[in-house]
Amino acid sequence: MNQPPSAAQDQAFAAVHQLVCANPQLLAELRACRDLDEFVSHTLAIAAAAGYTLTAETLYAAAQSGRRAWRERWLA
Amino acid sequence: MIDLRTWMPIRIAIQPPHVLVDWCAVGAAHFADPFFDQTIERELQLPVNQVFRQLTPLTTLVDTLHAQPAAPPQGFIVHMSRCGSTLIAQMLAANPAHTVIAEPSPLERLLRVLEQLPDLSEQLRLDLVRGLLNALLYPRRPEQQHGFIKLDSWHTLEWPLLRRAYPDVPWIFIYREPVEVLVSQLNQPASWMQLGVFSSHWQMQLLSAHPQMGHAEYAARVLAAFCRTALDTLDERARLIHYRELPAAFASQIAPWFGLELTAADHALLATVAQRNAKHPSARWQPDAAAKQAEADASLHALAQSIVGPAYAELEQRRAQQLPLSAVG
Repeated sequence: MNQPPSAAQDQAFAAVHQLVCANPQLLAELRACRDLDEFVSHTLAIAAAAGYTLTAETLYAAAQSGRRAWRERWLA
Repeated sequence: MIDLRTWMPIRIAIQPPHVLVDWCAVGAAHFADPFFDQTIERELQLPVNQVFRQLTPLTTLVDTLHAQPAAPPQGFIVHMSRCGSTLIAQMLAANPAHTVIAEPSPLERLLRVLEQLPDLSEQLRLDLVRGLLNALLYPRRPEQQHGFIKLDSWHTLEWPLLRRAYPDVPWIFIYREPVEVLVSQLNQPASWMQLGVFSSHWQMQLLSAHPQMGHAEYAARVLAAFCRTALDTLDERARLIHYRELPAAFASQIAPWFGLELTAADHALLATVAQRNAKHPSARWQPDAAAKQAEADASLHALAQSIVGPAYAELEQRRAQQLPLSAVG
């Protein structure tokens, strides 16, 4: 069944998120990426190696969302 | 299951009807900044920590407490605000064997959540507090031997709950001449000085009881409550420390009270830390008691004396009765 692109990206992101969070080695590798563009490239490679198609935009949006959640920690 | 060797709770997120814990893979970060949030702020500059965090139910704190228990805190720093508590935290954190979690924002959020859930059992309440502190202090650096919690001054009011969670842990209460704290609070108000939609029940009750009070009186009443709460919870594990005893009291009282043996190298390091402004480590520390006394006008002196004075005098009396540490053993 075809899915709208955003739903497919959500699923791919959830899968990659689960993969990375469960793997301290991958987390350590990604921790070494100080630059967001470098981090996105590296994460896309990890996703592709695991058979997931993620877009850079999905990762940039996730980074923005993560920063915002912290900034607004007193609100929610 | 969250693995505490990697993950640390950095935020309590309220997404009605859920209360969630936001976990970050902090690695071996040493919490050497004056405040917990400053270290987290730096951690969150890493893209990995922006993108790959985990949100779990609040009860994960209890699950991890039971499955991955760490040693309890080695000591608690409780204080009146603007009285040297950050200096003490910085002196402790100067030793890489120590992890000091200073004024963690997730504790404030958890305590507000608990306030909203009056039907929660005492056991669950204590386990959630223990679960959060266990996860914050879980050893993630090979050097870490001891963990310490420095509370926000505001959490002095919550100290009875925290004390019930950790009845055997030594603690200190630091305080200062009330008018000096008042001057500091009026110049640079703490978050509890701001009243608004996030105010606690306690603040609202205080406002209802004294609807006409101004900022200075409000601050004085809060400071009096901090001192009164400390007095009400004093026990054999408590040590009272006056601001003017610092920094010498760190080596002579606080370190031994927390069961620490200082080496010659520690003493040298502490001397360096004590010269710095604890909240702004790049600046030098300057004594300011006389300046603050002079800055207060007669009405502020009177307010400090009438509202905070009685509890302060009692603290001084109790401090004078404390046995020297050599006698305590």
